[in-house]
Amino acid sequence: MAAEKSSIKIITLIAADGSVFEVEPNIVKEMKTVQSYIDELDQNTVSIPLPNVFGNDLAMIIEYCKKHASEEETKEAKEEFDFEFVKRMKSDDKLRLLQAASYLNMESFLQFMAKAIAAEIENQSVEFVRDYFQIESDFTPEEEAELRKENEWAFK
Amino acid sequence: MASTDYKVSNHIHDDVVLSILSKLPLKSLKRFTCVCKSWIHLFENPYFITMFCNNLISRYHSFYDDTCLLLKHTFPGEDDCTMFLLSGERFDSKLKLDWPHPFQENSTNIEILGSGINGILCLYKVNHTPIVLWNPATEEFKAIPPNPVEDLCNFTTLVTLHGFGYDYIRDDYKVIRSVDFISTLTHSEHDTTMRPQPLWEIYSVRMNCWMKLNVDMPPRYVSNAGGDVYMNGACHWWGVTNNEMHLVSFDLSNEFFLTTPLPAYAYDSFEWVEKHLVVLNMSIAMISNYATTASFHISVLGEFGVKESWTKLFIIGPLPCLEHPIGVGKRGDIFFNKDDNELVCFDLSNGKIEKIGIKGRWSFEAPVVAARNLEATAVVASIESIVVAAGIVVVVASIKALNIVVGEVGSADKTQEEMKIVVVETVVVETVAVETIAAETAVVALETFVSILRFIYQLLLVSAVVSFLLVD
Repeated sequence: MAAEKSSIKIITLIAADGSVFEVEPNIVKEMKTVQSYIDELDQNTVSIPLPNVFGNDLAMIIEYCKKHASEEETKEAKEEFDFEFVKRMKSDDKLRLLQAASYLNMESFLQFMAKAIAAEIENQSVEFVRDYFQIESDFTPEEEAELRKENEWAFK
Repeated sequence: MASTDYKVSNHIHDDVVLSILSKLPLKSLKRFTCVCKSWIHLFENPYFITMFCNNLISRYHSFYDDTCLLLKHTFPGEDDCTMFLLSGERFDSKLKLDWPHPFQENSTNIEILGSGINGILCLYKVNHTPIVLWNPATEEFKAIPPNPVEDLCNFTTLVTLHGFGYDYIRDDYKVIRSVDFISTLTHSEHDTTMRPQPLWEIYSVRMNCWMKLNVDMPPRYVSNAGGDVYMNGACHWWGVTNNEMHLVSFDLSNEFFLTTPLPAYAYDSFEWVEKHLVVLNMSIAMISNYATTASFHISVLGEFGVKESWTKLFIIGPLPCLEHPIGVGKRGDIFFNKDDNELVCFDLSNGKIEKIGIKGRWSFEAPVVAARNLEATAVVASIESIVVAAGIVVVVASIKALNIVVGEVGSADKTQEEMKIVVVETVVVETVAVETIAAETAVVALETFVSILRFIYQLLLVSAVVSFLLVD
């Protein structure tokens, strides 16, 4: 089994929009959804369709995985990369990448994106958060006023 | 996204949303309970609470970089105090430290005020003289000059230290104390109108003097445990006004204070509940010790000055073997005195109790202190300052830091030898670093010189051309 696995040289990932990415096996280790697919097959080349991930997002995820899988990079360089990685993203990008991470079952990348989103919504208004997650309020105005009064200190 | 032909699910799983929310600070989270109905009951969801608590105790704070734990302990029945530096994964390395000079001859009743800051501790004796600031890594110390308060007729003065901390704005270390006046007259002679108001004074290392503070703060509630802590430029202690206990927080930079009443639920129990004030991974927290149920409740403060923002997050126990908390280390490490007088570390993240390995009849009275820069950073800082070209002083400083280890671990000869080698190596490495920098500087200087020459040459050329044109 171990010999079969190591014989896989290149993995082809096909995104929702049809764009194709060829990556080395160590890059997809983090992606448990992909990894379990590979483990079930005993072929030399594997092609995996990912209908829930856009090409642009997959490119970013692979970029992230490459950086973090690299043994040559220092911890500081990886932290610097993470910082820049989040900085160039818009809110929509973060949410899409979070969903992709959830679908691909990438635990540490999911936590990383969750942290980035938490940092963005921290200290924001209730309206901002509703808008961000596209949540409709299910309170009556009276209920909401009551709740705001109860937690008054948190609105200052 | 809707305009594209590819269908990608837009739904974020609930557990992913919970994971995001669990990373928020308490204040934002309380605010967002108004977002939708399913978010109101977040704090009733054990899965969410566990996630939130784990994030709270594991969140990164640079304050804890290179910190180590100091433990002061006293033999029962004796007043002699000993200080240990605990390090290693399981605190397996214990190093006895020598008290600074003013306390070496008589090491009885030494107390630590607050916690260590940037490697500096504030030590005092029960009678408050002398007060000494001490850096165990460099063995430097500084005795704070006394400032006798004028004795008033019919009154004796009672001085109480309240906090030691760091003023970020002025880069200064400060100590706060209160001076109270107690009447020496009998009750019948006593005239309450004559009694002077208590004084507040602040000592600044930069000014090297005590100054009067223009505040009227609730004084320290002495009979309760875990007296005072320092966090983020402010000193905090349990104070009492109108027979009610408050958290008093004094900002050292702006010299103002805030009080936070205890939460209503703190008074629910009929039994006497010991309340320890601690800093839990850079949050002000209260550990309530319920003796009858052998359990400890930990509440975290969400916002200074707001009683309602206390939130009960952890319940430890029932664990009858734990007697009382001694202090909090890094992350969720809480140190407890066990019923058999052994020191144990309770890990809040997994509930594991681990022995520190200090056995015997000792009792531990003082807080465990997280002091920064104790040895590792002292060396690192030195290497940085070599770049600024202060080589020799720095090398000496590193040897000093290592010498503490040599001097104390050195009961086994082998260890001492190894340590000496380390010292030698450090010196060699640092000397090389200095030389490299010197060589680099020389290259830069040479390059600058050449470019200046080139510039002069060009100037001469231009002037030659200009004069040629003028003549022409």
